Amino acid sequence: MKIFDVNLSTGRWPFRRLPQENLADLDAAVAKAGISGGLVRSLDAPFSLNINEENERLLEVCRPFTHLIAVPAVRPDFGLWRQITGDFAVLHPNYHSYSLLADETLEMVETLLNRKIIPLIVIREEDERGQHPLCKVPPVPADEINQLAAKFPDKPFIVLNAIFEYMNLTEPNIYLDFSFFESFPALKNPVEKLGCKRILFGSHAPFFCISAAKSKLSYDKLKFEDIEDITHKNMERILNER
Amino acid sequence: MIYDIHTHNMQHQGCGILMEQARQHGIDRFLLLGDVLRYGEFPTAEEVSEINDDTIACVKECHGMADGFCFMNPALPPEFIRSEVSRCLQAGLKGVKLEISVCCRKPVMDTLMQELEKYDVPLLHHCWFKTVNKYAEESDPVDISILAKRFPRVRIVMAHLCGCGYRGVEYIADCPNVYVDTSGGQPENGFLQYAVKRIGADRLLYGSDAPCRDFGCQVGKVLDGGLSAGDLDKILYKNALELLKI
Repeated sequence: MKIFDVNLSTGRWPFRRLPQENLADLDAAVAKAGISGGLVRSLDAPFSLNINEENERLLEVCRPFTHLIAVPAVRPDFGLWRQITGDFAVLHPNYHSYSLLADETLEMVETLLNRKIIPLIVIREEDERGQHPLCKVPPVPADEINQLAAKFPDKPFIVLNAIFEYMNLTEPNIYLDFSFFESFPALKNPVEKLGCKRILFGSHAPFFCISAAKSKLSYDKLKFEDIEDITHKNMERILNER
Repeated sequence: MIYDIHTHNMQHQGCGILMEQARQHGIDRFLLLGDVLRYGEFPTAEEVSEINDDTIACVKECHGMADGFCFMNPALPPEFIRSEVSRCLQAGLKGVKLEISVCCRKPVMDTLMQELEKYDVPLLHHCWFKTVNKYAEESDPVDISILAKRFPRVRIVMAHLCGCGYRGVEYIADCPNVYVDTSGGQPENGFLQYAVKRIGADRLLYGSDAPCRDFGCQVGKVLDGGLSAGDLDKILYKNALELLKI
């Protein structure tokens, strides 16, 4: 089974050391879990005052791992987003303190989409209950994501780290990774409400354990085609149809 | 073998789905802690008894696949606490579960703790270090360590390793009567490895918090820890069987 993980990170998270923060260690864990490739973003970017430097570093560390795709961070108040190339760009509206509906954000997103770059919107990086007391970062509001996606109805948006039950992401062009999904069984509620075409395999490693993500595929209501959609076919469709 | 020390029998679900999902994920036996928030943070005596009646019935329904704990609100009258704990233990339940009715550093805990010491049965206590969304009487690892030192002969399971975090492990490190369960929270990487290094595998217990959490995700958290086979066996079942005298 081919598995493409849309939610991997590397670098240094400022609040704690993560077991596989080094990309070689993460790659070994990913390979052991049978994951064939994935999207990697920078753990340093949410707090960096110079995301361009973090993007360059990310590109450099990912270079030896041809199956892992470095995803640069962009923000509307940091002009270098105009130079971004590739298939994906990641947005941290809460850590970078901007609204998805601000005029400069809309200009940035529209430009990215016109260049066929797919936006990844990270709702949160960690459970808010366990955040550092001097760094309480609320999740990105679902309402803003819905309104943004509605403005570009024929373009895909990938949302990472949504807690399904707390987030009503209604627009059909929004795709969600399942890293924070944990109903009982883990995929029951999302599959019943969204179907399998909008769900993507995402582990959120190294924050989360990869085995936990893989176990979600054992939900007995999933047919083989559903598992294929979640693990890689949905992403292939997004790339082909953007 | 896998023994899950932290599950809940919810009134609206029954035990069938718990057994079915447990089997699917290789969980051989589990501990039912009751539908502890059915009546909110401060249940009455009648409500506590109703929750315990359901747990007793569910344990029977599971035909040996489940054990159960008595749920309690420690702020209720001492005579009720004594009679309800006695009733539940006679019915086969194996310990007491506390949720968020009383911060456990308070003296009102004393009657219950004396009963636990008298019967030599363990306490499993909800616990979390929260930055936001903390309940008024919710206990954190500092509270647990104070309680554990006041009652050193009572074995206490501090729930939710990922919610307690590194600081939580540190607070109970010098309390040999405190165990920690791995239940709940997201399947975060790194906390279990730290806890094994700091307090050893003998005081750690696998738990899921199902059906609030998924068995597979929560077992994955333990299996991904890079632990030795011996430590895994202790965490997955041996410590639980010893604690519950099974």
